[in-house]
Amino acid sequence: MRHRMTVAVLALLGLLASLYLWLYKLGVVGSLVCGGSGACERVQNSPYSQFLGVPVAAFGVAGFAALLAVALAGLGARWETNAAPSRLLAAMSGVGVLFAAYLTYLEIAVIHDVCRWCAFCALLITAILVVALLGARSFSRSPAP
Amino acid sequence: MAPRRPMKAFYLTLGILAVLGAIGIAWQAGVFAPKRSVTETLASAPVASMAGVAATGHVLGADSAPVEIVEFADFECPSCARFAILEWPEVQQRLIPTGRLKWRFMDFPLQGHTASPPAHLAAGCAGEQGRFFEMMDAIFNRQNQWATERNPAREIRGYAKGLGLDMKRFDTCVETAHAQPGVDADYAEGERLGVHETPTFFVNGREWPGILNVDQIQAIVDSLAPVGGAPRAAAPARRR
Repeated sequence: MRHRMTVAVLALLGLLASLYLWLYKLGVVGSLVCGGSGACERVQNSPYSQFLGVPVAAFGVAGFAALLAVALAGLGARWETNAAPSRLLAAMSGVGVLFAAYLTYLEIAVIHDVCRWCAFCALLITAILVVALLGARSFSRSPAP
Repeated sequence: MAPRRPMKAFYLTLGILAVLGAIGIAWQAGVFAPKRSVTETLASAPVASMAGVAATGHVLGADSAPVEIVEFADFECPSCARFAILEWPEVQQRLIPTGRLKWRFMDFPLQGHTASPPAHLAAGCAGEQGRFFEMMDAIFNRQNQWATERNPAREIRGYAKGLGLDMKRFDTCVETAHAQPGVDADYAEGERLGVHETPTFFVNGREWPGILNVDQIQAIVDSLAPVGGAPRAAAPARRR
């Protein structure tokens, strides 16, 4: 269960960071706290800050919210001993890592700026994948109750 | 099966984390900014020297208006677009025509906003045909379109065409960067005044902390220029 608890905490942090970036895109948050470099705003205002016409930050909000929901559901008595939530978390975060890798590539190779909040989200989704894989592996090792 | 771990502490920690995060975001969004009357807020701000500003910017409203609001804005800034879409139409239609308020838009393209410079130049070129504020509306209203284009100038040119501008004159202005000195002069004034984010507003020379909304602007105008004086006809939009 510790794996799912860890995923829930990491997903919540990712949700908050993505929400912050999304609110900036919506104009609710005036300027981003980014160490005074302006890199976050350059990335957020670049042509690559939207995917299929939707702000990338909104995908982050949806993705981390979904991970949080699955992790919390997996902590319930009904799913506690079931491997499915851990496998689902691993699959979802795997997709997230691929998306984050693509965005990080764009930041480094195309935009030539790294947004700290985006990098934080990329690290979080990577950590979630690692923890979720360890969680799924622990189920395959331990005998069914 | 192992005994179920006590989950209360975990959910409590998660809840505290969520609340702290929400508070942090709300603080960033200005939710906890002190609520003071417009008079108190303005009185507490130092008066900046606006002598240089008087020769710059795009102006809408009567020269004799007792209240002048100077807005430093960047066309690529989301908060500026939010102000332009939600608050500006009412300011323009309801407050400026009373003759009590004059508005001065100052170009302040932030560094790093790579799509902004062509937008400010294009708006300046529209201004040379007396259509700056219409172009400003078009640019802010479609910020999500042109700002994410690989060639924003081409997209923005379409807005100029849509406004019915003399396109030969507009294209010449853009190609020769004829309106660029005006943009640069606005930016230099912003730097001189210590502007570092957008939008930044000055009300009769006093910097307003944060973003204005139409109710606050109404309250400012009512407090500084109470109704009673004879209404004056609003002058057309002009550069300087």
